[in-house]
Amino acid sequence: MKPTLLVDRKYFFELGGSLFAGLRGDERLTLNLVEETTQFIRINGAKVRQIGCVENAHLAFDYRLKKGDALVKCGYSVTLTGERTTDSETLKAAFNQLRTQATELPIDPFSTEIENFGQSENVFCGELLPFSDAAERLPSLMNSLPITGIYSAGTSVRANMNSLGQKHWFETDHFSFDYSLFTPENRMAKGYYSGSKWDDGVFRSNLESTHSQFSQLTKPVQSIEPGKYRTYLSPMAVAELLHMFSWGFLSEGALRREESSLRLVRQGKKSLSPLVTLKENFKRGLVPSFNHLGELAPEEIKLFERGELENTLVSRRTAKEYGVTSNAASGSEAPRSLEMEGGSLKEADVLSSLGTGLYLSNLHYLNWSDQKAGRITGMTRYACFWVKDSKIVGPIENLRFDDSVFGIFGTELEALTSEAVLIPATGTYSNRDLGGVINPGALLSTKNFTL
Amino acid sequence: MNSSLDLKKLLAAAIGTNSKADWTGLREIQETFHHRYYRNEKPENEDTSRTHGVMVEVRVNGHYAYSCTPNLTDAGVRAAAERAREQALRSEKFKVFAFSPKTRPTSQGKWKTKIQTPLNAHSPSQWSDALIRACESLKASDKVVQTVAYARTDETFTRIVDSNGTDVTQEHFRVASHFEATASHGGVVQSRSDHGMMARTRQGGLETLFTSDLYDRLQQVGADSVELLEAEDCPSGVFDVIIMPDQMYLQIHESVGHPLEYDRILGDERNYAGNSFVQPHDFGKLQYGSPLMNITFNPELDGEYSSYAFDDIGNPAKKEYIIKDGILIRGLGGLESQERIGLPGVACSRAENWDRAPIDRMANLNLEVGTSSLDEMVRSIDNGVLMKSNRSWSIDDFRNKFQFGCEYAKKIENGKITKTLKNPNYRGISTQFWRSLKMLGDESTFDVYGSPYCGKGEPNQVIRVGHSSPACLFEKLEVFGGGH
Repeated sequence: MKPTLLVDRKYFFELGGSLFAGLRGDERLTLNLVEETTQFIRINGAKVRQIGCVENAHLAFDYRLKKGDALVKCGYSVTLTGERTTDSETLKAAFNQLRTQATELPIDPFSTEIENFGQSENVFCGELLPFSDAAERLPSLMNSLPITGIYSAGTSVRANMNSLGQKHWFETDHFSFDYSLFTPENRMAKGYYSGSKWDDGVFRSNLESTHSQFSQLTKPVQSIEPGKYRTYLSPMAVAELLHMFSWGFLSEGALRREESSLRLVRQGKKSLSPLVTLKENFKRGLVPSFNHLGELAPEEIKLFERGELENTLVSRRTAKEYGVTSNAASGSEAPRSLEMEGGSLKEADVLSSLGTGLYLSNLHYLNWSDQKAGRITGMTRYACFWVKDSKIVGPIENLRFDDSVFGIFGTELEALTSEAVLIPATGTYSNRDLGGVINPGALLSTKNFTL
Repeated sequence: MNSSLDLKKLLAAAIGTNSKADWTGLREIQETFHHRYYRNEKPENEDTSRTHGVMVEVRVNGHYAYSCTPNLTDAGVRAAAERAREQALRSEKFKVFAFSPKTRPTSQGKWKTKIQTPLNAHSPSQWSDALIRACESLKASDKVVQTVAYARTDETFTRIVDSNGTDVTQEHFRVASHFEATASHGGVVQSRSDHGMMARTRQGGLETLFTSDLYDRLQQVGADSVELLEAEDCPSGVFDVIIMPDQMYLQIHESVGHPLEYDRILGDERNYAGNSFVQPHDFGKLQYGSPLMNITFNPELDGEYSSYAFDDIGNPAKKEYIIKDGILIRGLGGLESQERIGLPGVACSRAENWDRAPIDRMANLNLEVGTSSLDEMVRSIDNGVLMKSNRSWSIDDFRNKFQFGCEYAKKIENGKITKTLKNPNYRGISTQFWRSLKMLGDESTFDVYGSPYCGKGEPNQVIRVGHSSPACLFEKLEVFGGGH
């Protein structure tokens, strides 16, 4: 049976309606709901380390007060309980505090008038394991494999409404099992199983496919000296690099504030490879296309087309500050549904194309080592191999890299694999992430390893 | 700050009349954050966030399960308890370990952060005036193209009750801030902040933020950002390096704190945060650093970001030596991990909030002071670098190979500080690095920092950590600069 939400669609819109009814003519209000009912099962060595359920619903107010032609803006978020009397009192207290606070705050010159961007409703029903079943069934399906990871399953909601009549509701049932299989020497292979319809057979096949990497992991370990090597990055490794684009790289605001190295591309000082075509793709429906203001993003936003910068991500606030046009980006101007097109390298030809070099299945703990110059450092992780004459010799000791984003996705990018695959977003900070990134693997002519 | 909740009544509802659990506990958290962010003297964010909920936890045949809800009625908590019990019963045969009742001690007590000026002492207009003034102070010249002033205050009420009679209440009040100036000229862009991103973290009231030197300090931050525009890039090579406390705090965190967490050593984190190069047999034997190195877990230091009297399972917390005279003697693990690994630990089972389960966390982890003045350290160096304020960090999943970048550096030549350097970085391997600790600063070089954003765990949690350190001199580090 599907778990019950604390705040369903009807209740959310009723709560909003009662707040909007009390607004004065100079007040504007937008509400954003982030809600989930989730079961978490934490696995270590195919055993249950921690198991639990979380029901949570955060409602955030975005309050704007008109002062002449300008606006004052402030926000407040609360936890909803699903109990009408309690929630009504909580919301009333929060709203009154916002009203009082706003009278004392200075004008926010880059705040924009809210608009009615319309209405949308997307409900994706899945076939998930019932909470009670999963507690027994998941460990038994692992069949004593050396497995560690986290199973998350349940219903997630993102909803938005404003005092001008805008209403959006996005609800999805989804699960993910983010796991590692490890050898007795603690060498590991990474796997994911995610979706909206649980299937025991598909899960077993997924585990077996990941487990098949063990034949390579148990070969003698290779110690590789720091230096420059031809390198293949699997789709999971490329996804880690693309994740760095969430930290200001594609943001128009960050570019204007000279925080993003993308300014070097706009200035014509740096470029990406013609192999790189990158876009936001909301057609997949894995994440809502509305943002915190309820703006609906276009189905596609081309970011790079064959290496040429087409668009950055522009929020409504940035648009006002710099006199450009919003493309319904989030407040942080981070990508929400990123997709990188595949190339021409067939998966079967990866080793022969690599020849001699490094095959990296995953990267770990990436960070900008010089953000303004576009330099990234990070580590190899999991199943990473030394390849000689197109044959895997053995797993490597961890290596650190420190390289330019304009090398990795520019001068050093030799080929992309033909198939772009979904790497699901399995993060659970505050709440479960939605969606994921779609991208291919990448063959680099050289990559710089420093430690 | 107080909760109006009758938690003992809710505990009775959770236990019910026919409980199949051997033990039941409730942990209530009520937390309020205020975020105030100004950029170039203009408001960008004025946000308040409140959350209130409870985690019901049960133990059945040595196996724990939890259920978290914000529905704080008898019926809401009873339903949560039933879900927790069902999960415990259904998964009990697959449990990783049979925990003893000792893993949930019976405790009573109250604790509260010492504060002078309450967090709500300033009106909204006083806050905006202060943060606008901060931006003005950072604007050292026309070359400063952006100023940022951000303050975060938070207050947390925690109460833990359980079926054994535990009743613990703690109230925490905290302040964190970030002030930054970005300067740009001739294609060079440099940022400088008040001791690194969100590193100035304290428990206490507004007195910890509005110190008498605040605006003078921010003027210097702005001036530093302009100075860096003309500075040489940090040279590459092997140098003796003095690392100041506002970088040392993260060095301690990443290369001492995380590898010593028992849940990493036991493999719980292998799929996410990672493993550890440290093995159980290393405790009591491993020469982690030079004999100058003394690391303590210290939840008792007034004002440090993660001081507390009890961890989030009600275990009383006290100062313990983790590394003594360079030898590893104790790890960072709460009571559950201590039982599994068979080693003593510390009271560090901590959770981000009511909707996350406690796991091993480092809290306050400090490097004890030595006897050298900063001047003595500088005079001992013929050719070296002094680095300040973290700006970049990365380390491998076994916590060996790290790389850090700093905002600001000085060249040291023939025992004297000479020119300013931009984009300083260094890299190394954890135990080799700590064994190269050659001189340890005295009390005059000591400072306290921390972070609100340590990420770990599945499901993911961020937690607050505190780290204090004196200035330190390390021999022969691999140093390098920035650029493309």
